[in-house]
Amino acid sequence: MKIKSKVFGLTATALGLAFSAQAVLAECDHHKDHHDVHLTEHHAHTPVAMVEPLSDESLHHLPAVWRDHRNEPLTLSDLSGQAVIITMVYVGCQTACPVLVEDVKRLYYGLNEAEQANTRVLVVSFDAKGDTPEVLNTFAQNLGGDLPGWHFVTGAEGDIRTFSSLLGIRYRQNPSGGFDHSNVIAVLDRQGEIRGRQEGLAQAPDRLLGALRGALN
Amino acid sequence: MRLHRLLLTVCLLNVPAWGSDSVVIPGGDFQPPVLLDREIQTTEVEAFLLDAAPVSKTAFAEFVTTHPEWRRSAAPRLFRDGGYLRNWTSDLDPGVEQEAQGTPVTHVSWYAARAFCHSRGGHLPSMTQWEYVVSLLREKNQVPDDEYARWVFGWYGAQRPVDFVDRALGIKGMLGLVNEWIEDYQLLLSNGEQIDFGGGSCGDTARLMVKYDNAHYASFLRYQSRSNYTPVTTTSNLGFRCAYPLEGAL
Repeated sequence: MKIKSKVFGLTATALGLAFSAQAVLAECDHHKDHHDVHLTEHHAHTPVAMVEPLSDESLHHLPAVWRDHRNEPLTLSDLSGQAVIITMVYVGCQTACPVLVEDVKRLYYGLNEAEQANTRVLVVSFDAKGDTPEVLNTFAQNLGGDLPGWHFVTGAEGDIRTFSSLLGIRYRQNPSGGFDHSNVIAVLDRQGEIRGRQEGLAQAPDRLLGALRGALN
Repeated sequence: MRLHRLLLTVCLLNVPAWGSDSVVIPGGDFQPPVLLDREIQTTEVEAFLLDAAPVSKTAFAEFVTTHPEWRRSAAPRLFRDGGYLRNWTSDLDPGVEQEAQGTPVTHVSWYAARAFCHSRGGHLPSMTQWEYVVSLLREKNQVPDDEYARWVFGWYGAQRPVDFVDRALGIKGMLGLVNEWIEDYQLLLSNGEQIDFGGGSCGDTARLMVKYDNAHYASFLRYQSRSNYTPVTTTSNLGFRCAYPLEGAL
């Protein structure tokens, strides 16, 4: 954890430089070695030496930059090395979403402290317009989810749709302004691959807990 | 650093714009053939820009040249299945020498199609936008309903190319050779509190058809079969075109 925060300190200064280099690489480089270009692009904002290449199915390939309820930027590859519990909700949702967050809490508290320390929780909002970091902050606090390692995040509309598609979550804004959506909790392993996925509300946490333990060990 | 800045400038100038290859789709009311919400019979569509033709193999080759992460040797499986650009002769060569330059690109995943449109300052058309254009094409070219139905069924049945020339909007394809990706291709129907994910069950979706004639069945077939794709799906008859907001262009 200590190392992680040091790296974050570097990130802010490195970001400016990385960005211009990244743009050149992404737009113009006709390099033969695609693999290097690829890694450089997706990891420019986490200057951790990437020794292992990303696996083909890793969600860490997703370059989207999210903003969490503490107003901090977050990219999926920042979670590399940690297991992740994921769900998607929106704040205006009265029924299903608080239950989903409760389900995630139950799962998280099913882990022992050491396991919790290696687990992050990512709650992604469907509502790019309404759910600002401030709105998400209140939501997180009201549901007892403003915990270390927990991130209630918002992002660009296109990134939200990409993210949901990777988890097999369907959603659509309905005429009343809310979102119809499938209720899914997913578990990523330390490499960012999906290890477990559950549809429906208020389910016994055993199966996902097993997936989570498998991902951690 | 200087070189980088120069390259960056060149890159920025090089960003392809929508240019002359797109057409203005006038705004209007759209009556969906399949009601995604039981209460909503008509949707208002704002004017937008749409590529006149499906994205060509040549254009996609230019895209993967400038976006190496989307070459078939580099794009991770997370974003495409094993068929991605399979019929190309190499990473950058679609092998179109013998074919016409405008041959639509196929064997592209939804992710790849979206990345392409994004790189051009656009996006995949929404289901409403795409289907609205089909309704305009039928209306403005006075296509008889049964003929439209024959085209669509013919396409799904025997992959018969459709001999249709649009004389109203200047649109190529759509009801022709390849089907096209749209942003929200998966069906999700709501009926009050009940949400139905239309998970491949035709019976579920068919009950939301507005009318049970041939033309509506044809459109419904497109809605339903499109919904069965996954975002990594690539097929030999699935391509795409991009849409752009009208504001930025004028």
